[in-house]
Amino acid sequence: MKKTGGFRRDFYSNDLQELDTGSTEGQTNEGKGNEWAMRSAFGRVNYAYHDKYLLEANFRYDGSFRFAKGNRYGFFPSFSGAWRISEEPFLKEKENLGNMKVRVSWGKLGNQNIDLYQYIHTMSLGQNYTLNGQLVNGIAQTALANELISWETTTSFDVGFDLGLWKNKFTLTADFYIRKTDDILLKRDIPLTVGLDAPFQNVGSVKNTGWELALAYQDKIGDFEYSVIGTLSDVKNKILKFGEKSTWDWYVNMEGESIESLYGYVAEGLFQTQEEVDNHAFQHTMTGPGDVIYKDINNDGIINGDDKVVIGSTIPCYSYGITLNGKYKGFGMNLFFNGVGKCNGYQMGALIEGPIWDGFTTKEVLDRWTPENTDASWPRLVYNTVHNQEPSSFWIQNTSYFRLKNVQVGYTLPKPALNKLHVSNVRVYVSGENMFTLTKAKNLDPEFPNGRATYYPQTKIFSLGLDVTF
Amino acid sequence: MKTRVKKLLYALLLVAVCGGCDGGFFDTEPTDRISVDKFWTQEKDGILVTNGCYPGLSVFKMFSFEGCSDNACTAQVWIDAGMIANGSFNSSQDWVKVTWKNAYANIRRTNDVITYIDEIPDMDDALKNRLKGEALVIRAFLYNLMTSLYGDVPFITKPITLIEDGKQPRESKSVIVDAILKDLDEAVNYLPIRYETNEDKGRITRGAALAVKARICLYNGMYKEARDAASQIMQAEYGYQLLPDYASIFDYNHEMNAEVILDDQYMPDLRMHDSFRTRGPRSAQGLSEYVPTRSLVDEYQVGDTRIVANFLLPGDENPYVGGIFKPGSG
Repeated sequence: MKKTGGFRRDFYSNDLQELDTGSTEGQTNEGKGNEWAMRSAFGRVNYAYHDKYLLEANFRYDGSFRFAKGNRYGFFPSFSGAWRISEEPFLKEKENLGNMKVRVSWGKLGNQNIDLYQYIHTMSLGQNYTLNGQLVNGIAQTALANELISWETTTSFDVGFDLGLWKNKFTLTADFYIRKTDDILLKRDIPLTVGLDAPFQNVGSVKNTGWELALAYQDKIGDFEYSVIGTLSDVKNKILKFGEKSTWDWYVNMEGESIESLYGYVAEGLFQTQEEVDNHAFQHTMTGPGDVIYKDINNDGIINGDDKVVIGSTIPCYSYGITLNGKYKGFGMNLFFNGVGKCNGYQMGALIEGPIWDGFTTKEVLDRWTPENTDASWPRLVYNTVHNQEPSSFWIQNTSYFRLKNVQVGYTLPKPALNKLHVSNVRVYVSGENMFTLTKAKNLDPEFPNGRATYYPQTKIFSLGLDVTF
Repeated sequence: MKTRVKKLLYALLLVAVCGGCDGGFFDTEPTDRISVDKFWTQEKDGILVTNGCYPGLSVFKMFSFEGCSDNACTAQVWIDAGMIANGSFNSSQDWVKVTWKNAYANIRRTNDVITYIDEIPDMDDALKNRLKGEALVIRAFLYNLMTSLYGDVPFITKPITLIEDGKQPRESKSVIVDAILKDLDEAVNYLPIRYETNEDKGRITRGAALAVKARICLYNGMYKEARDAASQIMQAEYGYQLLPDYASIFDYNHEMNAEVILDDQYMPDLRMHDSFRTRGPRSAQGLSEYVPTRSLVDEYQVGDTRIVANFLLPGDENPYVGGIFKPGSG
């Protein structure tokens, strides 16, 4: 991949398009180029016996130029099998059974998508200085290289079950999976005394274990047709190997916890008196009555980074969706609910600071701590300091929710009426989006549960429609 | 069916084996960066890497650190200077981490020069030593900064290539100070008193090495050594003298004047600093992050012409946008 560019300005007019016709003042140019290559072989074997026993095997053998000689190749096989139990002679005759199938699969895939040339020790240009009004070029090594890097591998295992009963009036699909990614290529923090940017290393390992369930039932009572579809899934994520934990803002990546867990102090209410402040571990030079109490986890008398723990996770658990459909004569109705059973989110910025920096706040501030309002849900307002707004469990919320995402009711005119009007189809409908939400989360939409109020919230939309086809 | 499967498997095996050959197809060198094993082979390499050490001088945030002292203060208590000044910071404070990181990144560059420059073939020894001297002074300057701010710090004097070697224990400040003073004595022998060619003016001179030595000795209570080093610079052959007009020292057309022993150099468009933007008054588009304290102004005797040159006091005429300067409103 190569890129060459030039820039000039102050052209006489838009009619002149060549670079040479621009002013030489402030002219710049640039050029970039790099190459990368891969060499792969892959194949597949497929086998089906009487549509009853199904087997598939794949393999890949990939070589990537992003790694050094000796580390370039990876072998990635995968196998899957299925047994359509419903085709077996002892079940084939069962009328009520539409389909019953068991599936199993196992496979590996690789990833090599990091920056180029990471295994070569190189000097970088552009470390410039100026001497006596002239630019002087400088060179320096700015990053450490790692000759040992190689493929990142994801191994997936899945077992599934499909069922269809009563001529597939009822269907069920269930899956359980374990997905483990090893040798994750990460730029893990290295001691700053090395004086170079960290290199990629194959050091991470992450596991995702989860399951998914989908159920559907459709039937008819006289002229009334209806269907119910439900989906439910959950996943547990865990970092197995990472090295020294890495923290930033409200997050942490550390072994034994899920990716980007929320990380902060454990809050234990609000100080009520100066005496309580004095008897507690040291928090901040400005700590006083009305401030958030942070737990001294290691009992060393000071509240600092060592007292931070995992206080929640933003990975949603038990995500679900429910669709209800109904049809009777010309009327049709459709409802879609979605939600999450368990999740955490946090607020930051003006939502938790009061009207100090951003010039707006929320009405929760009215219940802030003052000497007259000691049973408060909010800490006191203190000017020019943010020690009550540090990442802590005080500001973590439960962002599980249940939402009627979409509802639509419509009526299609019957044929006789259409013929009278000389049209081929007329339908009127009423629909709504985000009609109601049940959640404990405050101020932020639980579908986007973190951070500042810097986005427009999702709106309730009500529409009325008329479809006419001539 | 059996033979078909067998044939298929053999075919797959064949492809797999073929794919196993490595070769020239993959061995392309990068065209946008220099491989280290091709480096340190010519005189140019030595000069370029030494040039790359000079940006290390700006790790010392001269004015910003004053914002934490009693000479200047900030009303913006959430910025680094404010947090450090009121004592509510810890090791994850931005400046604390960034100064540490940048100092060692630049110390590494000087270590590269000092360790490898002798390996360059066909290069004049005097030039090698001069470049080594420049790197030694920058390294001493950085270690003085580090020991002043952090006390005992790891003393790295060779470029590190293995991550584990980065985990060094702290060396005591006095050992580091002794070592860098020795480095400066060595550098003094290598460096010229002044550079003759225009392109080299601004590089580190013998006077600069002695000035850094004087400062280090002053910071560490070695007053006799500080005086001796300073007296050397004051000799006529060095050519330094006070300018008659104090304010003119900081004029654009007096860059590298006779008072300047060592400066951190910048130029429009290609290498810029934000000194005015952070300290200038808001009426002149500055952020007024740090303002001088009354006690600093009172250090000067009444009538000292340097007061007008250094400070904008209430009631002064605003030299940037005209009118009278009123603190708080511009």
